Formats: sequence, C-alpha cells, structure tokens
Amino acid sequence: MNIRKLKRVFVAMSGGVDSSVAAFLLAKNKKYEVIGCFIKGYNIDGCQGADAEDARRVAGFLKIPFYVIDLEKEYKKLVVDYMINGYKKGITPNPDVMCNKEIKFGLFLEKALGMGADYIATGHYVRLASPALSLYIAKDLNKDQSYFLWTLTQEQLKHCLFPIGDYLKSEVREIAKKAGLSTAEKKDSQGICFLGMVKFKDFLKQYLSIKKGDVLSVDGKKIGEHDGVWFYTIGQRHIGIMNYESGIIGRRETKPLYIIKKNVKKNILIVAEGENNQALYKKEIKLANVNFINSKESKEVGLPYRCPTSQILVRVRYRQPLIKARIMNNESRIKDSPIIHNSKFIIQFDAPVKFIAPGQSAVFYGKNGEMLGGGIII
Amino acid sequence: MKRIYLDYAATTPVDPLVKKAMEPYFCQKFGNPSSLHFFGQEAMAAIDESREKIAKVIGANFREVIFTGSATEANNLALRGIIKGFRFQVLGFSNKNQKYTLTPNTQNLTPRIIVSAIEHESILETVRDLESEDVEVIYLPVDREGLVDLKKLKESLNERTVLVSIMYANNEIGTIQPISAIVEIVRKFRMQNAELRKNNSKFLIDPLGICLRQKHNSELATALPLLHTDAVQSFQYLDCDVNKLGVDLMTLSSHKIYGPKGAGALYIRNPKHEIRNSKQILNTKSQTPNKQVSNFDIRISNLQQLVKPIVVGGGQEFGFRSGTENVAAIVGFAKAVGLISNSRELENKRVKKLSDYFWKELKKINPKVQINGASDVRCRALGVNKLPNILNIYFPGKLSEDLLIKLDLAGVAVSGGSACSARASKPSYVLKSCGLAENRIKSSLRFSLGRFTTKAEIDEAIKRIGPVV
Repeated sequence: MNIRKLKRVFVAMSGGVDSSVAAFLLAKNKKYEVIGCFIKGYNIDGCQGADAEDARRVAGFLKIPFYVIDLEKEYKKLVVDYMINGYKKGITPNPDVMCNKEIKFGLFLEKALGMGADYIATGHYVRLASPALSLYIAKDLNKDQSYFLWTLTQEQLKHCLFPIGDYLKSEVREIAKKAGLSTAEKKDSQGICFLGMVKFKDFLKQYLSIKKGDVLSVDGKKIGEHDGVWFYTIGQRHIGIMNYESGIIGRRETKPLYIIKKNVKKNILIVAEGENNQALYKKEIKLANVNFINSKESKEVGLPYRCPTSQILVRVRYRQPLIKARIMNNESRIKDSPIIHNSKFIIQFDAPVKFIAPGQSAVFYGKNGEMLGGGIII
Repeated sequence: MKRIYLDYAATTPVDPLVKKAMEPYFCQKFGNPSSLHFFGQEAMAAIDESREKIAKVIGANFREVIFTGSATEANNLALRGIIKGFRFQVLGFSNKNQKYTLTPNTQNLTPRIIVSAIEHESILETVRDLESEDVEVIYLPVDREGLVDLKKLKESLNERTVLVSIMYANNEIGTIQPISAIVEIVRKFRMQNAELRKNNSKFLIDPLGICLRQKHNSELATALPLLHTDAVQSFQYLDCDVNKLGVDLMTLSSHKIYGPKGAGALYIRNPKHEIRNSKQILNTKSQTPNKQVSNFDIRISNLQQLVKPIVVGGGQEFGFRSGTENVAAIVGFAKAVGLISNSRELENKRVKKLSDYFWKELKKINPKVQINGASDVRCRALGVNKLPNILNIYFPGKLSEDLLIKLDLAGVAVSGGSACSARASKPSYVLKSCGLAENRIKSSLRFSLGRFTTKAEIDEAIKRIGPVV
C-alpha cells in the first residue's frame, strides 16, 4: 500500500559513473521508488553487454529492480540512419541530440510512463528549475550537457529528473567512491556512443561509398583530391592532401588547410589556409526546427512576435564558450502565429564565428545560465 | 507486497526437506570424497547413497548415473563425449585430421547428430559448436504444437549418425515428445545397421563407410546411433524410468525439481552392468574410459566406452567428470528426486487443476489471450501431451518485454523467452520453430506453476495481472 505513495522513477543507467550516481542519489531519497533501466541501443562494436552488466551491478548493489529496455531497432532508425542520411546530404548532424530527443526523452519516457512511472531520470549534467521547468547550465561548467537537451519540451520536462546537475564531476566520482559503486573509477565514454572503438570514417564507409572529388582552394585552384564530401566536416583539417605549392617550394612556412565549404552536388571541398583565415568565419546563420523550452523565456527574449530581435548567448558546438548574438525571426509574416517550432530564425553573432557546420545545433542561453532552446543550423 | 513466483520452469525454490538433508554436508561432513580417511569415506558414502537413490528412481544401475555441475554440463558431456568417443573408439583416432592418413579420402567420416529445433540452448549451442569441429547436425523441425517431425527423423538417420538428442518435454511450451515412438524408430534403424555390419565383419573397411581399425570397435558401432533425452523439465511430472523410456542417455537437473543449483546428472546406459557390478567395488575410480582398454574391458562395459570425458583430472565420477564432487548439492539433488517419486501423480493433478483455473480466470480478464504450443483442445484432438505447469500465452497487442516489467513491478514473476547477455529478452526461437508469427512471439509470456503455488496465489496474481493486460 505504502509503495504507490512513492513517486516511481525510471533511471536510464548507461553503466557509467554519472547515471550510477543519479540512481544512487534517487535510491537514497525516501520519496522515490527507483527502477534502473539500461537502454539497449544500436551498437556496432558489441561492448553494450559489458555496459549493461556494469549498470546491472550498480542496480543490484542499490537493491533496485533493473531491466533492459530494448530500443535497438528504433535507435538504428531514428539516430543512426538519421545521422547517415545527414552525412549523405553533406551536413554534420548531431546524434547525441537526436538520441536524447527520440530515444531517452522520447521512447524511453513513453515506455516508462506506460509502466506507471512518474518520472524518468538521467545522468545528464544539467539543472532543472521548477515549477517553471527551465533548464540551466550545470554546476560543473566543464561537463555541462545542456547543449544536447535543447529539443526538450515542457511535456517531457514535467517527467524529468536530473539528479547530478548540482554536482561537479569530481563530486560525482567522490559520491560513487564513498558509496562503493563499482563504476566509481570507470572511464568516461567518449565520442559517439554507438561506435565504441570503431573509427567514425570506417563506420560511414559501410554506408557511403568512396567517390573521389576535387579539393579546391578559395580562389578555385585544384590542390588535391578527397574520398567524397560526405566524409568531411566543416572546419576539419588533416584531410590527407598535400599542399602542392608548399610541397614544391619547400621552404615557405605552411599553414594547415581547413575545410570551409562542401559542394555536395559537385562533390567538391573548398579549403582555406590558416586557422585565422577569414573564409572560416561566419557572421550569421539560419536555423530550422527551433525549439524554445519555455514559452515564457521566448517572450522574455522577445520572440517570436513581440520584438523581431533579441540579445542572447549562443554556442554552435558542445563546450564552446558562449557567444553574444542576436536572434531574430526570419519570417515576419507569421508574426502573429503562436507556433514557434519549425519556423526559420536567424542568428547574428556580435563577432564572426568560425567552423560552423550545417546540421549541428545552435543552442541559446540567457545571461543567467538558462538554456532557452536551440535549432539546427542550415 | 508479497511477490508471486510463476516461473518454476526457470528454477524452483529448494524444498525445506532438501535443505535439511543437505545441512550436515557443509560444516560437519565436509570431507573430500576422494580422501582415504574417515571424513572422505563419510562423504563418499553420501555420494554413493545419492547415486543409488537416483539410479533406483530412474530404473538405472549405480554406475550409470554420472553427477555433473549442471544439466548444461551433462548435455555437453553427452554430445561432446560421444563425438570424442566415437572418433576415438570407433574410428580409431582422436584427432579428426588423422582420418586422412587412416582411411581412403573418398570415405565420409563426418559424424552426424540429430536434434530437434526446440532443444534447450545447452544442446543447440553445443551442436553448433560441434559443427565447427566437423560434425554434421540435423535440426528436426517441429509442428505448431511443438512435436518433432518423425518422418524427417526417419529420413535423417544414416550410417554416420552417432546420436539423436530430443528433449522429453519442452521448457517454454511444455510439449511432451513421443519418446517411445522415437526410440522405436532409432532402434529399428540400429538393428538394420547392425545386420549389415555383421554380415560384412571380415572387412576392415566397414561397408557402411566407417573404417574400423579393430574388431571390437565394430561391436561398438552396432550400438549407434544412441538416443539421448533432456528430461530436465519433465522429471517433476513424468515417469523418467529409462527402461520404460528406452533411451540410452538422459539428462536431469537438480534445481528444476526443488533441489539446489549446481548439480545435474547424466544417465549413460551400460547394458552389461551385471557382469561389471562385482568388480566395481574393487576398482571404481581407476576405471577411466580414457585409458586404452583391452577387449575384455570393452565387453564388460561397452556402451559407456562411447562417451569420453570432457573434463579430466582426478578421475571422479568413474572418470567421466573429474573435479571434487559437490557433496551437499548431490545429497540435496537425491533428496529432491526422492521427494518427487513419492508424490508425482498427486502433484500432477493439483498443478493441472491450478493452471486450468488460472487460464479460465485469465480468459475472463482478457478474452483475446491464446495458448502457444499445444492447447488443451488441440491436445485432446491430436493426442498430444504437455506438462501441466507450463502456460505459454499470447497477449494480442501487448509487448511481452513491457508486460514482464509491469508484472514484475506488480509483484508477479514470469518469463518472456530467454535473455541475452545484455539481459534484454530475445524473441523465442522455440515459438519461432513452432511457426508462430513474429508479432505473436513478441507478445507472448510463459507462466509456470509449481509445488508452492496455491489457489490463493493464483487469485492474487489474476488480480494483479488484470490492470496490466
């Protein structure tokens, strides 16, 4: 009888230290009935079994029920295929954003609610303020993962807990150690989770064929060849071509080449020399699929229809320092529509920003550290 | 919340009487059965007694019961041991690469094993592994009820077939195989084979394609193919007398019959045990089937010579399974076997009544549910038999993995097929082999009742299942 008075929480446990501690903190809290879950996604190097095992060990130690939720097919379709299709089109999609949107806070949340959950919890470094349901940068600025969560909606956040947002990573490790969690010393995962130790380009090669194309300099001179534009990202260097000119002259001080543009139709890469080359910079970007987490916030920054522009802070890559910018509604003709999703927005940076890859997420922040929302760079 | 356990086919609680029988063997009678002193003798006596008890219940001889660490190990010993024994004793070499030097290249010496497609994984994975060691495996299909295709069995038997392994009753759907009909088919084939061999015994090269290095080996070859049955699930409910069944090998498990985990047994028929018996006391342990044996030895214990050990060492269990015996578990296992043999019929009726009641009540909650495998109606119509305690149920429109979690959180423990290493449930290959559609397989759960299931528990389970399905 007593048990249903508790709030039921499904914790997404990856087998890492962060979600282990998230589960631990909740399990310690007498308000909650905690259930551990490992989400089985798509994984090509087969290390998932070991991670599930680590998660299970922690759940067993905490004496909480533990289940594996099999979302492999869905993950493959909604995250992996999405990413491959993005690369095919020549853009640089972010699988982590997609995984959060579709898997963790999509299907997993849905399943958990179907199983009587009041909440789901994850080991994300982010803070949730209630009752307004706004997300804030984590206490640990270095680990802050708010960037990956810009797609979340009020409906989702209503059922979310982020137990470790108020801790530093070092504190999280300390808690894990003190509690005796077996994952306390486990290394942090890096890169794209479903790839494991497989190299990203090798993975893409399974799906995208090699097609030789030209590498051109900014002034249109051919300086080398590449394997197909879809394998490259804006801002990438070390693309494996010789700088012809410097190769001949030999003595001239050479600067590295950076990709500044991809022409998918013609299969051409354009590169510029030197990391401060003006061609690497952009002053303005367009966004699609914009989401504002809190409509109140969007009003505060004057969007979308009160005021056409507003000062915000923005980052276009994970862990990039926040940049001052103005956001404006590009479609003034729908200014009276309350729908703000999917409408096109423009961001103007106060100072030009380099290495901006279409497909990546631009995420907006307020001056108080609130993550306001984001959109996909087009 | 009092939890309700409806997964007896996965494992059973240890019966309190079994626990009591085991207790002295942890702290007091802890000796190593191989030790020569008092402590060792005490432990060995306990194992002897346990072996005697189990042998008696299944109608076997003392020396025909080999204790192992699990039924999986017993199955491995049966399959791998026979392949090893066949190569060593019948073909006259232990290494498959040797055959090219011993026999004309034209001869096909690849041994064949026949299994059903719905065997337990400990059989299926073992034969899959053996396939990589030049063993040919035939997987017999089953029908919608889970019965093996006997016609296909007949067609699959050939002179290279060394073993047929078909489970007595299935762990997921409870279907009972017609073992006597299978025995009949195998025996008939064996006799035809033996006749052919006898008439041509002067040839070094067996006319059926097997090169026999020595005369005595041809005698062994006439015992082929052997018939093994995995009786792990059936022992609680069916008479497993090996003479009535007519099998050559049989696997039993302790923890499925209210005994402890960590004990299994393999019965290996030893038709000439009468002669063997008198010598046994003198020389039990040194008699390992591993050693090169004289013609005389072959004559007195011939069939067991076809099984070579896969774990070697101190030569325990007549050399078939080395490793210090798990005395307490073996004692518990024997006690559990004893308890069943006294109460089988009554328990059968009681459990059948309960599972019928459960099914009736479940139908009331959700009229769309269906039985997988052999339903009662089909059983009557087709003369199929099934275990009384297993109900594999299809819940249209529901996902079994979700149902399982919901039920577990409501305190009802059931099973949804087997689990993979990451603990996610895999779609059942048993249901797939029965020809069920994928969405049906993904919407099915196994409920299995047992000794401690009560009507009150069933009522409570139904109450909890109601809101979920």
